[in-house]
Formats: sequence, structure tokens, C-alpha cells
Amino acid sequence: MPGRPDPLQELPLVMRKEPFGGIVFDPFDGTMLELDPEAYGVARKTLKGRGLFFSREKREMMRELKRELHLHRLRAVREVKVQGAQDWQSKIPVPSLSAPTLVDFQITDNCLMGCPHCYASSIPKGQHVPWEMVQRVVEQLADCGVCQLAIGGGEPLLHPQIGDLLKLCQDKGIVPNLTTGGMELRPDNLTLLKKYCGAIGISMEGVGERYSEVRKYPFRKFEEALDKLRDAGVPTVIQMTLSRANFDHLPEMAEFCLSRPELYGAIFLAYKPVGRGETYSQALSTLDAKVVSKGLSHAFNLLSPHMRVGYDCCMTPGVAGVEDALKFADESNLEGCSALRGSVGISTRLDVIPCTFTWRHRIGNLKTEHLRDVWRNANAERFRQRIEIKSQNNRACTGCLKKAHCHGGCPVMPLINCHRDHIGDPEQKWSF
Amino acid sequence: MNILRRHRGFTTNSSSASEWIDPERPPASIPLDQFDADGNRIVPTPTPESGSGDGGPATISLEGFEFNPFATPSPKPSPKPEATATPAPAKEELPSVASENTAMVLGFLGTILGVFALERMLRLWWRKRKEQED
Repeated sequence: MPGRPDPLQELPLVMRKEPFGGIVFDPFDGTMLELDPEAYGVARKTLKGRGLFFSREKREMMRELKRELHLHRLRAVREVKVQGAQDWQSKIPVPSLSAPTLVDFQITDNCLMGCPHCYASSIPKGQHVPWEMVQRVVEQLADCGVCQLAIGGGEPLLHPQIGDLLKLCQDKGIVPNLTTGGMELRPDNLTLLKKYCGAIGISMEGVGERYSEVRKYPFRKFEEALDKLRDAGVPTVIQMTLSRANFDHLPEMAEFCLSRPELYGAIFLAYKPVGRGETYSQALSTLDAKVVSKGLSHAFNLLSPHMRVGYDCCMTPGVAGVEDALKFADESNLEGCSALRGSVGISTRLDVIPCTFTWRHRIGNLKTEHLRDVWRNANAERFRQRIEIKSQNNRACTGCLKKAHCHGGCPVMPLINCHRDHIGDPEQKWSF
Repeated sequence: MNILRRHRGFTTNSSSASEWIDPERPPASIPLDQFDADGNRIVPTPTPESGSGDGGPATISLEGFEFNPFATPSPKPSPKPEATATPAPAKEELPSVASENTAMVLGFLGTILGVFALERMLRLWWRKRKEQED
């Protein structure tokens, strides 16, 4: 399994109290634990080196924590107290945190690639978020105890202060991750990525000619970008965006990932018909659930013995259908839409949006408001309610044991079908 | 007392979150047969040496996390020179489970002995007092 950046070993563990107990985040490998109140108490004592417990149960919990986190030695701990978090709890029954732990930040609209399916509609003359605004956002993220920042765009490596941003994140104890098209991987950028980032995502919609057709960019160049990342020791994730147009090619994409043993992981993303992608292809929901389940199951099982395999939370209904076949390590690997429950998106205009694909659902703006206030405002609550209603009203979810984790899929657009979608009205796949 | 959820791995995609299935980091409730003969679980994570980007698999034996309470923890790998370039906070060893158990046993024995000693002293003092009164 490829290595992780050494500097992340030195970042402090993050602890944050939550209404259900608390969370602990290990920046070393991005492990996030959600603990009940008693377990959180044990974690606090253990992490402060006072983990001497007389109760057998507590000692077992301490051992478990030591296994989950990288506690070969005592590590610095940053306990975040989010202002007003004790007085606030979402009124919507769908589980949500008191502040986000993961934020997607689009730092630029500028990209030279011009992909026909770009959800952000990025263009070569796109604007960068001014550095003062970037600083303001990162300050607010630190106040909220955000653990990971997924930096996107546009092409984030084109932002003139990308190095400063990565350094600022580390100074604030936030792990920055970044998605790139791979065109801007110069030696200076590679050094920055290696030094500061948890992992780098690089997108692929097909292999060989297929990739070149879509991106208008030679596949050979994509492979060269992977080589550069490997040689620089940057943990790299291939993101495979799956749509109706390329789903048949999933096996060859999985085979390609297998041929790159240096990969940190592979992620399957559901294609979202937004931005320029609105007219490019169709979502996986236009394919039969059985076809999608079979393809996903094959790809997961092919890759998972060799590398970390992940999926975009929008795909959860499709993954839930084949969960048993995927041999998940534990049931907590299944989780539905995390928008405004644990994560949030920030656009180039500093609009706060539930995720980067739901730009029409603006819930606030960080130029005039603080993220912690936006997280708790009425717009955010309304969106959480959408998630709740989605699983309550979807006939396919009736009686499903996975409903509590899956939440019935994306509350904004139909992206993938569930194996239970034949339940209810067969003529109407999405009853919501 | 529970870990309610676990998420593992860095999230790079521009959607909200991704759930990782990490074949080499199974949950804590793993069966005991996944531990080696000495009771140590081998979790593949990069050693400081392999973190330099050699791309090869690496393992760290998590000794000190062992189930055998009498196992002796072995020395941990020293950090890479690059890693120490930025001043890191002073580190100290966590008390291992073995030493914690030993401390508990010693503490318990100490308490019993202490109670007996105290009782003996009180008896002596009482007897002496009685003798003086007589």
C-alpha cells in the first residue's frame, strides 16, 4: 500500500464534542471516528496520556482507539470547541454534526482543459478566488474544526497562491486534498503536493482513445501525470466518473487502476448532469439497477484486495444493493448524502452550497456570514429536511434496513437506482 | 460505549464525501486469528522509511497494542530526518496495556497490604494504650 506524507504524522489529532458524543480525526491517514459520550470520554483521557482504566470495558475501548488511530506514541491533540455548538442541534432527525468536518472549496473557475462534461463549467479565462478571501475561508474552517479541505476548481494548481493555501491549511491543522486534471504538475507543484496534501485526485472517464475523445487530451499525457505523481511520492487517487456513456468501459478502467500499483486508491463517482455536463451524458439512473450493481460489484471486488476503494456518497443507493457482495469491513462503510450533515461546498463566489453539484441551493455566503452560522441557518435546515423527506417518501425505501445509513440517495437529482426500485410503482423509478 | 462510525482515507473528490473500503484496515472487532503468534496485530502502514515515496508496501507491527498482557513492547521505528525538520512536540511513550495491567495488579496488592498494615498498627496502638491505662 503506498505511503502517506510524513508531515501529516506531525499534525495534531482533532477532537470535537458533538451532541451524540464526539469525533476524533487522525490526519495521518484521514481516519475519522464518531464516538458515543462514554467512548469520547475514554478517548480524551487516552489521548492525554491518562488512559489508566479499571473498567474492563473502558480498557477495551482504549485498545480499540489505539488500533484505529496511529498511537505508537503520544501525539499532540487539538480539541476544537465550536462556538455555540452546545446550544445548537439540528431539528431534523437526519443525523448531522454541529459543524462540517469536510469542506469542498472551489478556489478557481480557471481551467485550460475545457472538458465537455465539466460540472463547474470552468473556462480558460475563469477567475481565481482572491487570496484575502481564501484566507478568510480557511480561518473560518479552523474555527469550525474542519478536518479535511478538498480543494477543487477549475484547475486548482493554476491558482497563484496554491502553495500558500496548502501551507495555511497545515498551519491550521487541516489536511488539504486536491483534485487536478494533471496538466500543471511541474516539479515545484509536485513538491508542494508531496509536502502538504493527504492525497491527490485525478479524474479519468475512460482508458486510451476513450479518454482522449472525452478530454481532447492525449491519454499518454494522463499516464505521464500519474508517473510524475508516483515519482514524487504523492498519494494519488484515480476518480472514475461513471455515466451512461462510459459505464460499459468500467471493467477496463478498473483493470487500468490495477496496472498502477502505486495508487493510493480508486474512487467511483456518479456523473452529475450539471454545469456543462447537463447536455453531455446521462446519469447512471438511466441504466437498470441490476446492470449498474453488477458492474460496480465486479469493479469493487477486482480492486479492493489491492487498493483502497471508495465511492462518492451520491452512489450509496446503488452500492447498498451490492453491499453484501462487496464484503465491506463493517456496516459503517455505507453512508448516504453527507451534504450539510458532515460536509459542505464553497463556490468561487464564496457561496455556501450543500455540495459542489448543488450550486442552485445556495444557503449562505462567507463574504458576509460565518460558516458556523450558515451551517445552522434555516436554509441549511430546509436542505436537511429534503434528505429526510427523500428517504421517508421514496417507496423503495419502505422497510429497507439500510435506510438509516443510505437516506435514499441524492435529494436533488436522480443519480443512481437502487436494487429495490422495482418496489412500488414499476412505471416510476423515482417516486420522490 | 461504542465507536459509532468509522471513515477512513483522504477525500479528494469534489462531491461531498466518499466511503473508503480499506482492505488493510479492518474494523477493531476483528477475530483473534488475525493476530500473529505473539498476539500482535500486523497492520500495514508505511514505515517512516517507505514514506519517502518508494511506492512499495510497508508494514508496522503495532506491538504495544497486543492482547497478551505480558508481552514486552519493542522499540518503535525512529522518525525520518525530514519529518523532524519542523520542530515536533516532545513525544513520550503511551503506557502499554501490559504495563497498565501490571500497574493495576501492583496497585491492588499494595492496597490490600496497606489495609493490613494499617489494621496491625491500629491494634498495636490500641494495645499500648490499654496497657498504659491499666
